[in-house]
Amino acid sequence: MARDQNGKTRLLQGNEAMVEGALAAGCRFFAGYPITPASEIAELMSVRLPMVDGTFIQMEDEIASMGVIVGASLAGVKSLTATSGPGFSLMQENLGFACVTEVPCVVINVMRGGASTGLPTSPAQGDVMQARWGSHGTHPIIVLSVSSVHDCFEITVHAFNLSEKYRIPVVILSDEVVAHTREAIVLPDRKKLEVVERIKPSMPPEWYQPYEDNSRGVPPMASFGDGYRHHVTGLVHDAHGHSTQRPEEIDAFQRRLFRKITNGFYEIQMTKSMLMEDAEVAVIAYGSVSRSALRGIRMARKKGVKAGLLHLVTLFPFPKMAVSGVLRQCRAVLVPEMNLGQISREVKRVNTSSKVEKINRIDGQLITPEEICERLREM
Amino acid sequence: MKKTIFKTIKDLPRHHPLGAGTPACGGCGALEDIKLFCDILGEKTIFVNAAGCMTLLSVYPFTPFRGSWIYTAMASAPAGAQGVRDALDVLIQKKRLRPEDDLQVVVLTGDGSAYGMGLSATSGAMDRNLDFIYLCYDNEGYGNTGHQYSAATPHGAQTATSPEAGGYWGYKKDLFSIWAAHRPSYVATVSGSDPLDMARKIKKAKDLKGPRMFIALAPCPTGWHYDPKETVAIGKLAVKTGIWPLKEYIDGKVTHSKKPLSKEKRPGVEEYLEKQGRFAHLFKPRRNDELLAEIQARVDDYWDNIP
Repeated sequence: MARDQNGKTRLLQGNEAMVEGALAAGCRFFAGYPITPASEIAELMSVRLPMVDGTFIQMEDEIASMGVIVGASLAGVKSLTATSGPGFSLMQENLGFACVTEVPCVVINVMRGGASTGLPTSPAQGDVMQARWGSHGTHPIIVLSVSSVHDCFEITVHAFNLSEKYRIPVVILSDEVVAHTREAIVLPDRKKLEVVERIKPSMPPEWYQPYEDNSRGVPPMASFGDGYRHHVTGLVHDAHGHSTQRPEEIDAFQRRLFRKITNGFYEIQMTKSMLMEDAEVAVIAYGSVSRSALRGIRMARKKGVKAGLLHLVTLFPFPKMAVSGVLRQCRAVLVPEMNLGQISREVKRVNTSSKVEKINRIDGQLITPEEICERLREM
Repeated sequence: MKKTIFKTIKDLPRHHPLGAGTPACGGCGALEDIKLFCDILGEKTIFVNAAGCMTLLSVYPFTPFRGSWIYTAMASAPAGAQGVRDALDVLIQKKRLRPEDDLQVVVLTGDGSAYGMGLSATSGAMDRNLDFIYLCYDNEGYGNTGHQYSAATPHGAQTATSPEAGGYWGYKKDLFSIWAAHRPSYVATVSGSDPLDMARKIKKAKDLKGPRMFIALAPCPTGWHYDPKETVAIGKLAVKTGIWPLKEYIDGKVTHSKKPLSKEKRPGVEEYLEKQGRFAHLFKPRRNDELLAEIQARVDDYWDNIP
């Protein structure tokens, strides 16, 4: 998405840019529960949504917040919730329900330090695996990450687009630093923004099967009230949406959920390569750490280290094609993370022969460019 | 019920177990409430604290509490209390703890937890007739995250998520009645600005067994937008205007421990509202007579219909 110079320059916080992105993507329903460091998203939504005939609703907890956005999406409105770690934990059951019932919705998790209450005002990246595997059972999900205020806008729009296109919940992982950093951002012209809408059924109501397979693996989605019979259940269901115990139907259903993501893999896999042309060592990073990494790489280059950056935007499905390219090119890669190694394990899983090293911080502090530069020089 | 020992303000305890110098905001109404609870309950307590402003009191290595303190997730303080109480009972049963060394289990949550997501766990604890004290400090919003509205926010109050001209659309949930419907041993509303009434009620509850529930008004200078020195004055006005009824539920009956003057004589709600920034939109730039009348009517209606 190119920056449009006709747009207005604004000084926004990451959380505020996410609100702008969501509204630009057509989000008209927000439900949430106050939690640091995500509260600003709800606060701004409570002002902005009524202006565009949207609905803001503050729920009694995060279980309810996730439940209500699933309901709103089924009624045909693009829906969003935002939370942080403790709230994200509460959302997991309904998030799994949305995966299995193929309800498009976007969940923002502004990650904060530690397990439990942890460090509410410090950044971390501890929820990466939770975003992928937090809900029980075999289920696909898309997880994206943001690293700057501009990302917060752009990736939120992407998240809604992917969610609508593939009928799947999308989790955006932000962190306390990205959420509260203020940066100048040029908001793109709304008219030039690509906004995807879910495909609705066009057949007569009696022909409609809400979970019928097709070449894309994504059935058209009727909204409640469109005149189509729509039975939505968290039980494993057949093409009509009714529960089934038949092994062949169960297998076909579960595999289709994954197939739709596999089919769209190249579109979903979003990464950014920087200074990679002649790189001999690389940093694979995401979130606010990728910005420290870029600075660290530039510092290392000044000292003669040929380093490059692979910035992961999509975390799941894991962008293994992009990562394996980097692993083949470089003799060693460094995965700095504000956890004890979650994405580094995924990198090791695709690894061929290069060395995978880690820098991990779990003290509520950012990984600094100096730390990364120093490590690159040793590699 | 036997008479309590608190006849005048001078009878209140002189010893204050709750330590001074906490990180709470200046003029915090909740701290005022907790202080008196600690005064009356003494040092043999375990506070079970759900996420909220008051969890910030205990930030290692500093804590104002003399006894133990545990933190639980937002929704589960009464469940945490159940575990603690059961364990204490087992220890007493096995004679590993002398009955005189038993501890009072006190659940401490804000209104966000009490009126909202913690209600299910509270209902369960009352249903199991858990022997505990529950103190809800009601600052009428999610104070700890920047004062968004909660189910305890009064009609018309502006909060971080109800910033529009009319303020909060909802009406304060009647938690007292919801709790009383469980038929626990004791339910009371209290206000830190009325320490004598509050002390009597705490003492009464202390001598009872089973679930003993308190909703304490906790004026919040940070969220209600007023000068911190006004906390007590605002608390007094809430009682005088009839907005905050002081009542108790015991043995199936609700009684009011302090009634405001008659409709004609008591101060209007305006006196209470105009002191607070969250209600400033009712007076400026244009007086919202309609909404003011509605708030007044609801208060009058309450007092007209009590038995």
